[in-house]
Amino acid sequence: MYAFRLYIAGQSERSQAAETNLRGLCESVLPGRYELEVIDAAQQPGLAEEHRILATPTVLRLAPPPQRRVIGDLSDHRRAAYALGLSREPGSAGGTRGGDQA
Amino acid sequence: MTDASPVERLQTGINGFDDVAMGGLPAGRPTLVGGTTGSGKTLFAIEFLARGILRSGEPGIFVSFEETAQDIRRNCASFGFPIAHWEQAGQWAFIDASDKLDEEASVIGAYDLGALVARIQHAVRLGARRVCIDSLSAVFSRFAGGAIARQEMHRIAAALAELGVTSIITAERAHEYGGLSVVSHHMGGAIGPSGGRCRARVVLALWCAGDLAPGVLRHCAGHGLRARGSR
Repeated sequence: MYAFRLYIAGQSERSQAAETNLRGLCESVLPGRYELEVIDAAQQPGLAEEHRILATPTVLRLAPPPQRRVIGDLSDHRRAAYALGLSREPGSAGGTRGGDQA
Repeated sequence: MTDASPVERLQTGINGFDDVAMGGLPAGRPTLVGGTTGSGKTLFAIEFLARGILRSGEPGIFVSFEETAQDIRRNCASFGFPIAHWEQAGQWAFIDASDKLDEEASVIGAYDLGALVARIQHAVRLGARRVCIDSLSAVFSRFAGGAIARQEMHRIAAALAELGVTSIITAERAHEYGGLSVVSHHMGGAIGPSGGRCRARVVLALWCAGDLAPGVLRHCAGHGLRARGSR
């Protein structure tokens, strides 16, 4: 089981993009095998403190270990998948065919 | 805000500084403190918080992008500032943004420092009267390109001004004052070499490195900082 925590700060377009991108990625790569918790740092600054979050959006992969941290709206799906440990290939910077690995 | 109106001053309590700085720092506003590495600007920021606690029980927040909270606690013991004790008493809080403790993070796509802003706002609302951010230089080097750092320091300075706390933002290199022009209308003042490059109201031409008139900051071990007029 994978566990992700997405930190955002307020309901901005960027926050929504990050959540949409992350959910899309999880659905394509880990259907039914992931948990995603979204934390608004503006509402719960203590939780941002706990993981020393400065930048938003930030995704933490809390499980399985090792913990991974990715900053940004995850607009490049391939690179996001690689950085979160969901694919073995770094992929191209373009990411035009992101999230299609089984 | 009219430029003609006198700016209320907050006495820092730093030995000699208030005399040469027209009574202290602009109250309720951010001030930029410039100085090269080793010039004592971090110590100035630390002492600004410490004197607030010692003189008037004003709680402070130290946002550190450079040294870790642990390093600062240890280094300050020699100045007789019991920071850990103040933390327990709710008078001093760190926001430790040093990258030493950071895990490696990949950057994919657009981001801002919204969580940092939220953490600062939250900490201030718990009752802080003084805030230090050390340093602008570290923010710039951490968040590559400068555009994000500039934009986000603008946001942080605006948030601090809105909260009405008296704050210090330290900076190292001259080109960063170019960035200050973006934030200048939120800045109560700037302390640095002549200040000619920024539109901020310059309270005092004071270069922490040591020799520009009219004031000189001296780092006195055991007594914290001492500011001297050069007249």
